[in-house]
Order: sequence, then C-alpha cells, then structure tokens
Amino acid sequence: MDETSFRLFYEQSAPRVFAYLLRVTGKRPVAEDLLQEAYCRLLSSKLPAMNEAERRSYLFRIATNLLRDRWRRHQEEPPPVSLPEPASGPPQLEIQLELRKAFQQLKMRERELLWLAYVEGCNHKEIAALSGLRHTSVRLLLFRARRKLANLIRTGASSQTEHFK
Amino acid sequence: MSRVICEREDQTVAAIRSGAIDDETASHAQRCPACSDILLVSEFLREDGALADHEQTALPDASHIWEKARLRAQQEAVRLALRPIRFMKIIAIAAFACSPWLRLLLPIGREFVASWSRAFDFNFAFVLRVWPASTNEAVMLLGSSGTIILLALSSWYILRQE
Repeated sequence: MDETSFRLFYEQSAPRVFAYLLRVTGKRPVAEDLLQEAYCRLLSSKLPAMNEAERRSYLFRIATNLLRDRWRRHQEEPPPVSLPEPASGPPQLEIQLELRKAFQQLKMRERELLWLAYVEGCNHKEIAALSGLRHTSVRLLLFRARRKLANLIRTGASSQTEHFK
Repeated sequence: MSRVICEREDQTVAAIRSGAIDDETASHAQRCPACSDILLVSEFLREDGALADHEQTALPDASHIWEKARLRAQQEAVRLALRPIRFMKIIAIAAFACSPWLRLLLPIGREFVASWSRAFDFNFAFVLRVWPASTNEAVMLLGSSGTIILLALSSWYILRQE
C-alpha cells in the first residue's frame, strides 16, 4: 500500500474505527492511541492482496485484539463518559447522555459485541471472526449484553421521564 | 435459553439493518421481549453511532501514522539484520565463560577416551593423537570449529532471509 492509497483508506475507515474504540474504551486519548496502533499494525503486517471491505474487517480485528490486550493489562472499570455535560441542552441530549452512561456500565466485551452487531452491522459469524469467540458463544453473549443494556436503558429513560415531568 | 431467544430474532435484525421495519415485525416486537430488546438497543446504538461521527473533531493525521509505521518498519529491519550478530555475541560470551573449564576438562576427556579404548578393545589412538595436549591447542581447535559452525549457521540464516 502506498501513502496515497493509505491516506484514502484512512479517511474512509478511521472515523468508524475511532467511534468503536471510543465507545468501548470511553476515553478519547486511549482511543486515539489504539487507533494509531491499529493502523501501524495494519501497515506493518504482510498481508495478501485484499479489497477494502476485507481490509476494514482486518482492521476491526486488530482493534478488537488491541482492546482485549489493554483490558487484560489494566482490567479497567467502566470509564467516565466523555460527552460534554449538557447542562442547558435539550432533553433529548440529556436522555442520550443517560443512555450512554448506561452503555458504559456494561463490560468491555459486551460493549464490543453490541457495537459490532448494531452499529457496524456485523452478523454473528463476522463477530466471531473478529472477536475470536465461537459462533454459538457470540449469540448467547450478545443476547445477555442486549438484555442488560435494554434494562439499563429502560431504567434510565424512566428516571429521565420522571425528572422532566 | 430457547425460551428467551426468539426464533424471529434474525428477521428483526435484518429488518433493522434494511432500515424498513414492517408492521408485522413491529407488532411482533411489541409482544416479544427479545425482539423489543433488539429494537430498543439497536435504535439507541444507531443514534449513538451517528452522534459519534459528529464528535470526531480531530483524528490523528494519516501522514503521522504513515511516518510512525515507516519508522517502526525500519527499526524492525535493523533488529532483524542485527540478529546474527547478537547470536554470535551470545556464542562468544558463552565460549569465553566456558574457556576456564577447558584446563580441567582436557585431561578428564583424554582419560575418558583412553578408558573407552580399553573397555571396548578398540584403538582410539587416532583420537588421542589429535586430542589437544595443551589449553592453547584446545582453544585453537574449539575456535576453528566454532568459526566453521557459525559460518554455516549464518549462511543458512542469510539464505533463509533471502
């Protein structure tokens, strides 16, 4: 890959990879470090010829592995939400903040799975390939994570509604 | 778990992905806890994903990452190129550490060869003839053998790298 094609690929893929890393880690500096590391690893790996979708999928796999390595090293607690406080913002934004807080209460693995499934649109097989889990495990873990988040969202949303009454 | 995982889950997910949730899926989701969870969670995450796009004010520059990867590749190339030298250095240090023991081992080895010669009734005299008489000779012998072995190993290594 030459510099021009890398630049093009980066501009197209980086926002989505960064959003994934940011939402899973919850920390902008960490997400930026991991983003750089993921692209460096992609560039230094000797890969066979790939189309853009395959390359993007490979990039997500690197990012997922980096997240897991980091989680193993630090065993991080749910991080603070890095959204600006919407003190005078519209109610919708406050609800979104509450929902995001709910998302950050999940485990890192759960956040990973949910983001890959519902934002990146990966199916169970693709998530299994990205995360190194078995296909059947993905289904079950995703179900549990989804249920947990849905309960948190419902609890958060109902308390917000009470607040605005 | 089959009680809580809905059979129509895949259809619901497919409808969400297509962006068009038909009436049947919507009415099913109202009755089915698993599918209503899917709708709720996917709606929240898709909104959050859209918000995330607006929050990316300053991503690291592509040329910075390109340069970083290039430097890393250079460092890796240097590390690989220096590997045979590092390997030889370790061998040299090991040989240096072992050399004082030669003075002790030399007569023991000679005695060992002689006793084998007697035990098996076989003439090991040719071994005893080439057996180094002094430490200097032993060092010379080991040095030349070591050089030949290291040359062979490094040639193999270079050929493998190419």
